[in-house]
Amino acid sequence: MTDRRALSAGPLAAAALPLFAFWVLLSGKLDAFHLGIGLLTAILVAAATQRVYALPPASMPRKDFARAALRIHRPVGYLAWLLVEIFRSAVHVTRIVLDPRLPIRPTVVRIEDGLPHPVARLTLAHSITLTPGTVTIDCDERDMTVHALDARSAAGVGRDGGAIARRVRRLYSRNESHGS
Amino acid sequence: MPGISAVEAVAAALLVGSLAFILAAVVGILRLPDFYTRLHAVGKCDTAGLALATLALALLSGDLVLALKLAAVWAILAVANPTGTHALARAAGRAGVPVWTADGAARRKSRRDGGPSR
Repeated sequence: MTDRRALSAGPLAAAALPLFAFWVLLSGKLDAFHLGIGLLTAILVAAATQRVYALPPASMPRKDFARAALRIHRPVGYLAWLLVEIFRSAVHVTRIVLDPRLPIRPTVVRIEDGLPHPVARLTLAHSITLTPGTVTIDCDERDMTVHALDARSAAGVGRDGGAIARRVRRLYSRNESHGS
Repeated sequence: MPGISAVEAVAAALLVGSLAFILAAVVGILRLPDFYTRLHAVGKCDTAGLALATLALALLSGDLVLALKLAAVWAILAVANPTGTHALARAAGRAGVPVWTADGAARRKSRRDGGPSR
């Protein structure tokens, strides 16, 4: 197996477009000069970093781009849910540290998430860190190590990641409906 | 109140809420017993506190591009914060920093008080 991958248009565009959008946002100027420089820079950076950020090709076959656009409601719904969880978890920690009894019973649990793709596993690891009472400590090929503030938080992620893992699996599932 | 618009009042309330979360993170760092539990306080309260702060500043800016920039700042922070938390926790785990448990603390306390161990 060889590590060198030729520059290919699909992944290059997928990396350059967000960079270009970020450029437009930061510059705030919409004339041809600034847009031109921005586009050029985005493509150059995407090409230069393609190997650094190369992911397994299973991440998005080309014909799935159109279908992914149809499923845009999934990440929107997921991020809305995550935003609520971030505030719930901040309130959860705040209540614990302001409680004079400091009601914590920390435990470390291992989770076998069984998610196939590194990006899906990254999403799960970050989501666990942002949801109430749990922080992801380590993540290797097969499982994750999670530190939980109390027994209820530990039970929430269970042995397989619990409800959060089911949401992430649905987010990345190929089915149009809510397959898991 | 004279001289304060509704937008400014909402922004002020959001900033106070933001400071409350960040203050809770500080209290958490001071009160929680070990490295890992302190990570909970910083990782969660900061993310939520900064969300309120950037929302307040976006309201006060009165400029769509500036508001979107602030939203981008928060989005990057919301990814960077769990990443940093994870990097710290992983480094601590591999360096063998012990995990504080209620049972371990109770054992140490009973030993210190000359409890049943002797």
